[in-house]
Amino acid sequence: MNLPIVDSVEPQRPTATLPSSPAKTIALIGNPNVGKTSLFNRLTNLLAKTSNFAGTTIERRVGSLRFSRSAGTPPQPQIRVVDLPGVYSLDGTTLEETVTREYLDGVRSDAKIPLPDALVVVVDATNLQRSLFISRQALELGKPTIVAVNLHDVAARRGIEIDCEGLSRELGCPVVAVSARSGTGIEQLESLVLDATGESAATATVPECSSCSACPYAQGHQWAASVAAGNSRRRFVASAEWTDRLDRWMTNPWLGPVAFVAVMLFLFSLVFWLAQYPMEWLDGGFGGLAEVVGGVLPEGDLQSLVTDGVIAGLGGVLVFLPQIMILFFVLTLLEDSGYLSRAVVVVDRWMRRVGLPGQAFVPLLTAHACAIPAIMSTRTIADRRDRLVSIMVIPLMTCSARLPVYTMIAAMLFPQQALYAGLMFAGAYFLGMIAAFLMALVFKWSILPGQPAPLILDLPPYRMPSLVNALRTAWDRGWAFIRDAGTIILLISLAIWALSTYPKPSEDQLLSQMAAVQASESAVTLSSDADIDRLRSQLQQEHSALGRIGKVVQPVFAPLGFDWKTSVGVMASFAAREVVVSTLSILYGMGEDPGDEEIASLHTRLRTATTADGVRVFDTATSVALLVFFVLAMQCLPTQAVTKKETGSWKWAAFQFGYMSVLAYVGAFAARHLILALGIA
Amino acid sequence: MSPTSSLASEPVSPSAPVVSSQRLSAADCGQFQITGFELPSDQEHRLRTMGLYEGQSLEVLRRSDPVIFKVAGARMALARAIAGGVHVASANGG
Ligand SMILES: Nc1nc2c(ncn2[C@@H]2O[C@H](COP(=O)(O)OP(=O)(O)O)[C@@H](O)[C@H]2O)c(=O)[nH]1
Ligand SMILES: [Mg+2]
Repeated sequence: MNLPIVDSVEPQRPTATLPSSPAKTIALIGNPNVGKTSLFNRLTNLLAKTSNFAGTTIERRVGSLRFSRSAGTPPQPQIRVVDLPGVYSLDGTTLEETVTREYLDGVRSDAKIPLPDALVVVVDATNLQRSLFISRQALELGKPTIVAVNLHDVAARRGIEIDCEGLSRELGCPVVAVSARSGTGIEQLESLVLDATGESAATATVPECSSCSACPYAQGHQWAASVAAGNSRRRFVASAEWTDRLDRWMTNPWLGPVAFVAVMLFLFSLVFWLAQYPMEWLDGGFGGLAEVVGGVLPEGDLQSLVTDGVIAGLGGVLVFLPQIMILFFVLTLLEDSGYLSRAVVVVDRWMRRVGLPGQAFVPLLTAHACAIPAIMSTRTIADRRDRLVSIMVIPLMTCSARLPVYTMIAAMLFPQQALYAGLMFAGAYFLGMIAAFLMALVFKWSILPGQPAPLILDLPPYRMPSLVNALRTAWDRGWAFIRDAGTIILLISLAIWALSTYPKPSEDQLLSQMAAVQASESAVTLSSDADIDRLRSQLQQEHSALGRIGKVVQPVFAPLGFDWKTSVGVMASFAAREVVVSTLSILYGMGEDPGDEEIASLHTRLRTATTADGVRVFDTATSVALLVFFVLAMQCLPTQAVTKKETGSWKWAAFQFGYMSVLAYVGAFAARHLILALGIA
Repeated sequence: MSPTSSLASEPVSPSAPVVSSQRLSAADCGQFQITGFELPSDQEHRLRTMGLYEGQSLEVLRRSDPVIFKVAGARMALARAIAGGVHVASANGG
């Protein structure tokens, strides 16, 4: 569902040999964590577009080189820069390595990222030995190649000196020391890129003694180690490294989990605390907008479509953005700092027991903001079985769309008892997590058998993360959410609006029904116009497609204690769960958009609502059943669409819906009857 | 945790010079050399691309699950299941 953005208007590039070829392309390759993305951000001034290699979940970024040289130089040619995934070798078998190789071989190049004219191999100055290995494979491709020795600033601080000229002689290609952080050497790199993409660029030659193919890895690594040793030296031995010291705590079997829990608690509170402000502004902003527009448009279906359909729908999309972006901002800081891989080490052992790989913990964490970016971020899990299990259980985590529902139920169960309400919230979060782990275990025993792929993980050194990189990633993720989920959420909001608006009762029907209500229920006094309006929209809702569906399915939900109004709310919430609050608010006669005070009275009304024979609708057992149902049910069509997209089949989306619905129903039934059996009022 | 508690079946005597190879999952903290692999080919290949090959030296930092060690100037974590398929020999005989 890619919207056509900048890329598609770019002209199809003619074959690379044409001299008039408008733009050259360079590709950044190198190990993970050597600073490719940071360097890419430097070179492109953060103006880039992230997309996937066709048919895969492997990301690539493409941008134009923005020359940092002072103005006055002749107009610079257009050079396209491609940031590739981090790989350890070009003949590896992981998905990243396969895709990277296929791109460099021309199999996966397309109009957006044509075959590169030159390569920039990024290596790590603090560990040349490891990162030089791939440069040899890159040189074997025979393209003009530049080796950028990044992290120059860190190396200098640690007393590591690198002889770039010596390296250049041995590798047979230009070598430049750079720092993506401080900007050192970037101009030099740019002019080398100009040379390499120019007409007379020298193609790379393979460094000597690479003909031995009997033991390519040992040989390649030994070559890298000797080149590294020959061209770098330590001026002084840096005092005990930070990484060693920190790792003594962070990966300790006892202290590691404690540190992990502390970091995660901190992260959660930070994200929720920070996000509440922009969420309030957005909510208020869209509320205000709806009011203004509602005032301008004449009353009627169009007004209702625009305010309740379009504006409410847009607001429903954007309200999740703050949490998603802040979460990814903080997560990127954590990842770039090096801590995230330690966290994987800590949780891997525990998650493995239920059949989830350690890498799944970041997506599971993200799911507490929203399942959609969480499912997208399972792309980092290489093994398909592991990825499927993760995607299947992710929506069980309590996402922010459930919070308004929890708030409503807390008010029904524990009015004015903040402590109990808080415990109920914690219980709901906990129930979601436990359910996710149990279901992962069930899948491991049933449809997705096998062990999660055993952990092979690089633990990068701890580094000071960069705010710019984190902002860039937060922006990317936010945009991906809007692009992939925004349109779906909007469409669904419109569909719900239509279903709950049409068909409309005729004016006669309305009037006679209103008269009937007045006659039968003495409690209902239609004292003001507002009351009459409420009753009107209540009756309309009942008459609408959604209302009828609710009445039809009510027998299904009767064992859970739901009346037909609640059933309508539940049916509506299968498209998007937060809808239940506004639906119940209409059905229990509160008008469409409950404000803060009205929310309070909605809660009172719900708590005191009675059936025709005077029994409370939301007694404790029913309220708890409702809570359990909303914790466990798959009530989010956009998530389903993303599941389909990421698993490549509707089958998995349907399965996810099916098992979660059954789980929710059984869970709610059990909870209700447990409470009834215990006799809790 | 006592270093040998979980592996009673493979006695490690610190005084005797360890010449024969042992599994990385059973290795104590210290310097080792890789002597061979006994792994599915894709996992072996993956490790080789990351700089693990016969004759490469590594330093075990933590013998937990996963095993944490330094190799080729980098730090790595390997699940016990995989570390069990990497054979190493003590680098210095004593
Ligand atoms: N001090 C310093 N840190 C850097 C430099 N380049 C990258 N980093 C940091 O190294 C980490 C990994 O960088 P990233 O660009 O994500 O690497 P990639 O995995 O190769 O794309 C991040 O924390 C960066 O902020 C540099 O030149 N100097
Ligand atoms: Mg990167």
